[in-house]
Amino acid sequence: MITDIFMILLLLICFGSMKLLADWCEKQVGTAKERKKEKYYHVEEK
Amino acid sequence: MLQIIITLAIYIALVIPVGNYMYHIATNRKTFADPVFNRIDRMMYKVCRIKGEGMTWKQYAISLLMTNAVMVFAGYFILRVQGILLANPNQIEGMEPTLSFNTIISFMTNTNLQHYAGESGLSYLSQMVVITFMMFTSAATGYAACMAFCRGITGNSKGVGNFYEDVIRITTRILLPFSIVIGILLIWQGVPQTLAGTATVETIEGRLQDIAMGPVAALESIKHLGTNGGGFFGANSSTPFENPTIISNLIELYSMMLLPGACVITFGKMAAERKKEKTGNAVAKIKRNVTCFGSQGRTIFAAMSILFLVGLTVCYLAEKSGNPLLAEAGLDQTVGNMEGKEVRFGVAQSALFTTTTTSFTTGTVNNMHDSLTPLGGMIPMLHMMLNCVFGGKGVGLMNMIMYVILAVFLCGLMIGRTPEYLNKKIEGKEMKLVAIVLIIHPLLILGFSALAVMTGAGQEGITNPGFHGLSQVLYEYASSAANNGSGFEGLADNTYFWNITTGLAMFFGRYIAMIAQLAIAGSFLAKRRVNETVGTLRTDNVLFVFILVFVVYIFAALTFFPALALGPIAEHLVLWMP
Repeated sequence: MITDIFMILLLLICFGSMKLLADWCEKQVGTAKERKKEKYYHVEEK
Repeated sequence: MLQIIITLAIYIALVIPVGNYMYHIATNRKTFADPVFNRIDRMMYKVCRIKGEGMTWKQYAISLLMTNAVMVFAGYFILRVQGILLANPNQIEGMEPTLSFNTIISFMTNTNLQHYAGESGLSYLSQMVVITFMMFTSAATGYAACMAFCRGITGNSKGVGNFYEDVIRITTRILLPFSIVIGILLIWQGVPQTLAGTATVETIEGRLQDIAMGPVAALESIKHLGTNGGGFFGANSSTPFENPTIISNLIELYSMMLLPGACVITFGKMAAERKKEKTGNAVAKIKRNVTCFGSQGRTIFAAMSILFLVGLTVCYLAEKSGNPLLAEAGLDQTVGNMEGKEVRFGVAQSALFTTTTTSFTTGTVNNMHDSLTPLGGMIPMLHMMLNCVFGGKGVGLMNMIMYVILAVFLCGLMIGRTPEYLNKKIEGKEMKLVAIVLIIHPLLILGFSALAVMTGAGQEGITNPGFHGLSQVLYEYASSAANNGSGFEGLADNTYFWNITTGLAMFFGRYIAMIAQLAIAGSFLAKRRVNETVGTLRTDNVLFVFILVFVVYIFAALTFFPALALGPIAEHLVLWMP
C-alpha cells in the first residue's frame, strides 16, 4: 500500500512538473503576452 | 543484400500514397473514406462533446497531458487489481506497484519497455483494455502532436488544431482501419487470435507442455503500426506465434516503417502548401513540383535515409563477419553471426529488422539484441541515441526538425547568413527550447546510466562483466529515453531501481521534448513571414542534406562517443584485436 501511494505521488509530481514546464515555455516564447495584447486591442477597437 | 534492397524499394513505393493520405487528414481535406468516417467521427464528437475549436499550443499540450494522465491512473489501477477482474483464465495475480508504474508509463509514452513476460504477467483484460488500448492512444497522441507541430512550423492554419479532434481522426481514419487489415494478414500467416486459455499439449517426447495463446494478432498489428513494440509474449517477434513466416516478418517491417516515413511526406506537403499560399498565382506550377515529397520533406527524408542506410550497412557487415571467438571454437561462421537469430530470418532480415526497429523506435525484436556483435549492437543503440532516424509516431520528424533548426542556426553563425526556416526568423527563444529538447535526451541516458553503474541497486541488475555490462545499461536507458522499448535483455531489470529509473527516463524523454516542441511550433505560428533574400540559407537542396547529416553525427559524437567507446567499441577491439 505504501509503495502504491509512493508511485501515485511520483506520477502526480511528474505530470505536475510538465504543467510547470508548459507555463515556463509559454513565458519563454511570449505567446501568452501576445494573446493578451491581441485581446486588449480587440476590446479597444470595439 | 539483394533482399534488403528489394524490401526498401517496396517501402518507398508504399510510403508515398500513405503520406499523401495522411496529408489530407492533417489538413482536413477530402479523402475517399470520408463518407464512412465522417459519420463515425461526428458521433464521437457528439458523445465526447468535442466542439472542434482551434487551440493554442499550450491548450493543446495541456489537453494532451491531461488525457494521458487520466489513462495512466486508470491503467495503473487495472494492472494492480487484474487478479480479481474478468477475462483472467490463467489466474494471473495483480502486478507489483513499481512494475505497474513502469508498465503504465511505458505504454502511455509509446515505449513498451517490458520488465515482465506478457504471457505470465498480464491477464487478457489487461492485455486488451490497458496494453492494446494504450497502443492506439499513445500512437494517436504522438501523431496528433506531430500534426500540431507541422501546422505551427509551416504556419498554414490559424491555430495548431484541436487535440481531441486530431486523436479521433487519426484513430478512426489511420490506426483502426490499417491495423484491422494488418491483423487479418497476420492471422492468414498463422498468428493466433483467440480468447481461450493456455493450451496444454503432449510433445513428441511424451511430455506435457503449456502453450500460451490469446488475442495475439490484434495486438501484433497495432504493435508495429503504432511503433509500440511491446509483444504479447516475452520473446516478442522472434517467436513463431507472433511472427511465423518470412511474409509476416515483411508485413511487420512495413507496418512499423510506414507511418513515420509518411509523416515526413505530410510535413513536406504542408511546407510546400505554405509556399503555394504565398505565391498565389503560381499555384499550378508549384503543385506539379510537390506531388511526392515537397522540397522540404525531400531534404529531411534524404537525410534520414542516409543515416538509416549507414547504420544498416554497418550492422549488416558486422553481423555478416561473424564472431571470431565462435570461429576459434570450431563453429562455422560463413553465414555470419547466427547466435540469437532465427534461422528462418537469417543475418540479412535480422540486421534489417534490428536497424528498423530502433530507427523507427518501435522496439519489437526478431532476434536477441544481446547476442549481436559489438558493432552490430552499437548501431541500434546509436540510432536510439540519435532518435531522429525516422523515429516513431511523428516524434522522429519533430526531433529531426530540431536538428534542422540547429543546423540553420549554426550555419548562420558560421557564414553570416540570416537564421531563417520556412520564412520565419529563428530567434534566441526558439534556440533555447531547441537546446532543451536536444540536451534532455543525452542527459537522461547518460545521467541514469551513471547512476546505475555507481549504485549497488543498479549494479545488481547488470549480469555481464566488463564492456558488455556497460552496453546493457546504456541500451536500457537509450531505449527508455527514446521511447523505443526494445531490450538488450540479459539485464535483471524487474527491481525497484530499474522499474522507477527507466519509468522516469521514459516519462521525461517523451513529455519534456513534446511540450518544448509544441511551444516552438506556437512561437513559429505567431511570427510574421519574411521574404527570402540572397542571404537566406536554402534548406531544400543537396548541400543542406549533408549539413544536416553532419550536424546530427557531430552532436551524437560530442555527447555519446565517450560512453560508446567504453561499451561496444572497446568490446569490439577486445574481440577482434585481443
